[in-house]
Amino acid sequence: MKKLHTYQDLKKLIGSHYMQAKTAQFFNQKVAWVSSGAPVELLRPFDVITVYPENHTSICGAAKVGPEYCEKAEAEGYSRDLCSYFRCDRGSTLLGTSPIGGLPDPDFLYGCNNICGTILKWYEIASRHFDVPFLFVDTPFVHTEVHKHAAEYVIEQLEGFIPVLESLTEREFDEEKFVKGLYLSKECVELWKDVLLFGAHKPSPLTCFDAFTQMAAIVSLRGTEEAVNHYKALKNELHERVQKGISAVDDEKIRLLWDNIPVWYAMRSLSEIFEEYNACLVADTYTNAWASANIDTGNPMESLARNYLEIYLNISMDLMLERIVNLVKVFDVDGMVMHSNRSCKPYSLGQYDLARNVKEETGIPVLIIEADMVDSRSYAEAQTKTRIEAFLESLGG
Amino acid sequence: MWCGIDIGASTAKVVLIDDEIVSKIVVPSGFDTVKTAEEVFEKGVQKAGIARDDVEYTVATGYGRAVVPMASKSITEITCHAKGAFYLDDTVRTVIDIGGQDSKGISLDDTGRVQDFVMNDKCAAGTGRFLEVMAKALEVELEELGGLSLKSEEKVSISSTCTVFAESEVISYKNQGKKKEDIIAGVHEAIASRIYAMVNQIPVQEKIMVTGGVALNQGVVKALETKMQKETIVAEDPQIVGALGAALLARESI
Amino acid sequence: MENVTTIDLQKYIAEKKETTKIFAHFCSHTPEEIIHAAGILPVRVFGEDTIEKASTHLQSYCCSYAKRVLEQGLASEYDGTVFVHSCDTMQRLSDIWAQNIPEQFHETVIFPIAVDKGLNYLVKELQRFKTRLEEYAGDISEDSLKKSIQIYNENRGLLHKLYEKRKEGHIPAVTVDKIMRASMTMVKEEHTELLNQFLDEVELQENSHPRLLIVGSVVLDPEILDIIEEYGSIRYDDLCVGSRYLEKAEELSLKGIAQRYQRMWCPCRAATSSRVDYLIEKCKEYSIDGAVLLLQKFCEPYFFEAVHFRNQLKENYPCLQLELEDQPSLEQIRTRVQAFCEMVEG
Repeated sequence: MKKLHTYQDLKKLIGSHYMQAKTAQFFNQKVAWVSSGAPVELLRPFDVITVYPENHTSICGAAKVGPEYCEKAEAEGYSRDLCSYFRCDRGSTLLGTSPIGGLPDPDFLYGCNNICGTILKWYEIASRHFDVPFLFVDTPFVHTEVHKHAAEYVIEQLEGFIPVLESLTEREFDEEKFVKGLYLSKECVELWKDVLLFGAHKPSPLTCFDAFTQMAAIVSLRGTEEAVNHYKALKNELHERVQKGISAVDDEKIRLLWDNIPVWYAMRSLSEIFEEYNACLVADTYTNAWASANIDTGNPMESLARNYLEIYLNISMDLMLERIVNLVKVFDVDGMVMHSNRSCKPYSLGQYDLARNVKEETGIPVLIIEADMVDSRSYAEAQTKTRIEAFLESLGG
Repeated sequence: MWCGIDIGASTAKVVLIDDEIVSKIVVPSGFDTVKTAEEVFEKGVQKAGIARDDVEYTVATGYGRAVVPMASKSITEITCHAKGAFYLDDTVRTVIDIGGQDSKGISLDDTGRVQDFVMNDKCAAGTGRFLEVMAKALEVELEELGGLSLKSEEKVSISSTCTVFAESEVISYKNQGKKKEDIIAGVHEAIASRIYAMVNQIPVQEKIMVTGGVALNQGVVKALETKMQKETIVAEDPQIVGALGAALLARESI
Repeated sequence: MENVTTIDLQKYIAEKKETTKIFAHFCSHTPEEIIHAAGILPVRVFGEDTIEKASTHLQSYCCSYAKRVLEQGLASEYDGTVFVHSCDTMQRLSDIWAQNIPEQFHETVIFPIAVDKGLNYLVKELQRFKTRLEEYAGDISEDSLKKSIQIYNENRGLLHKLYEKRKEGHIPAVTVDKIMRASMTMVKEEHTELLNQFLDEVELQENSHPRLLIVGSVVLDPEILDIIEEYGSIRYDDLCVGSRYLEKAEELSLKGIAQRYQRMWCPCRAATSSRVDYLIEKCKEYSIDGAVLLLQKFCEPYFFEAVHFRNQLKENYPCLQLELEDQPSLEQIRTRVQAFCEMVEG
């Protein structure tokens, strides 16, 4: 795995962000736990420090403490079949620690079910545990298109949160700051899109494993100057790599598309398997989910509502297929690897049909591997390796 | 004379009592439950030196309790284990039974009555079967596991909770040249984890008694104590506690 | 005349097919009244027992209900299907179904998940559904909708009477389950007729077993109810295919249907007031001794709720939680239920 230099900057950026969160009260700032798909732009004008439990549990997963924390939640009575992000987060809360010293307690929770219904249940439990308010954004699922009344419903909710946030943060809603944050969000998203598009180069200067790490900024710091600056620097580094002919995988022979949340504890071992066969995962559906946003600063609430209604996991399989086929074409991939993620039903159920559809429409072969994003007890490493190797061999690797 | 018969999936036990325990027998369970019941009952009666008809009342428990021909009543092993454990030591408030194919946790009140319970009978990983599979993979006898694990200095970590995948891991460690005692210590920690996770569903109060065939394995008992951060006691004959409870309940039945 | 507890529902559907359009649906929240007003028969699908083809569409970590209904869908022919938004699994199933099962009509009514908001949205969503239905079946007048809601309310009132009887005596839970399933399969008016007859004739049984409350969604394998009742007497339930279905629409309009939905409790949705407090009141009313939770393996909403729910309920009533798998091991269930009843009695 060729590490990007900007990886060090990212570590510092995220590290200092968590530090800020842990010292928020000294600066009269409130800390909110936020779900990855929530319309965070609404929180920016209130100077809220946004902490992402999903980012935190991905760090726990990578640090291989997933099973230990999950066990703690299971000891409390939570079923092993529940989302491992939740179990890991719950375990971390109960233990009061984590690889980054645990998350700061939230002053409130801000969750949106556009990624899944699990967020609602998870955050209800956290809300009860910390005895803090839970601001829930309900985004109706999009089977065909965004219906007008659905957009109105979301707008109504967002507008309804403004007085609540004013009261929680003891600040007035600053329209100017709000619009500024929207611009920054938009810019961040466009930069992120550009970053990911480097993967279309042949050979690619980055792999999806780089993207999985680098996404921390767009998820956790969207709408801030820091995120924008970081991705500008990342773009430069990738540009340099292209100029110098540095490819992420030596002698790139096979180009692949990844689907679903990463197997956080197996990033290194998986990337090694692919590298061995000169295969580069040049793009993925997960990081690309943050690469599009039609934020209209002239019509902020409506554009936010529509934007967050149409995120990748809130749309029907037909619409997902369109986006996948687009990625296949733009990145010119030879095959697709889908992670059947035990913990994530919205992302994983339907993969069998999607795999068939992708094969039919694009002609590329699709491999499905079974694992869990954070709970390594559900991962059979040797068996998975064999499957991947067989797949890569069939692609001529 | 009263009789308790516990027909488990791996072993069948019988206990005969009058004012105290008169005889106790353990035999492997055969394919035919009725035959097994007959066999163990016969052996129990013979050892007690009495005739079959001297037995006033028999209660059957365990997996095969519904088809024991000489039983007048069938009561679950949860109720029976609680009864048996409390009789042996009335300060016991939690019973952890680890059998051949299932495990359970039982919480007792101050009068020995069951107030809550939890069972694992779906997954081999918290049961004697897990140990059987690993013992075979390591080519040691089941009875040696406990002693060997106590010699371990650097226990390995078994991450799979599935018995089949855990077996793969054990074999892999063996091939890597890891010491048997270290692998066994890892196996014991794994089974203790599963049991701990199950037992935590009920209030765990001392004294805690561990029963069942697996309680004979000191390594597992110690690993469990470490996980729970609590001490336990093991009955002299941990396998017969269920049958003892059944016999006591037979005595109470008029 | 047929008996509401012995009627062959498969035969009933086959006969109805000759004269009526049949729509499959999967949830107690389905706005059946609108479908009924369109002259279509809404049939609640419970699924096939064995799963083969469904496994090529749904992973092993998916609940049995979704797999079983998909299996049935792949083998049957419905004129249309109506999904409603409940959990993540059903949401994806709607798309998988649409792709693999040819039908004349397919729609998902996207219910709001927030409970304190969303009423206006839901009324408009129901209107959208009604319009879609009208494209297929012709206009639905306000009058016919009113009539349909009245018919549904009448049936729910009778089902409520059935439940009330269980305070005084024992009616086998399998019988109640059959009646509920029949209500969700038959033309409502026809079921009402049979149910009236049943209520006139039913003989309540004496039963000295501990009185139980069962909690869950749908009991896919009713044999389990028989096993429970070897040791206990089920007197009340908190099930989708059970007491939750009894909620009436108070206004004879789309708004009434929307409000009905907002009042119905479901673990898929945001929690408002304590469900446990409500159930404890019911337990007192029905003189309950203990509660049995029948949770479907892989059901995220229920398993999330279960911990807090059990902790609260346990303060007042002993509680047994059973995890039901796709091919349930009846002996294991029997051991647990028997031990629980021994505990409650002892």
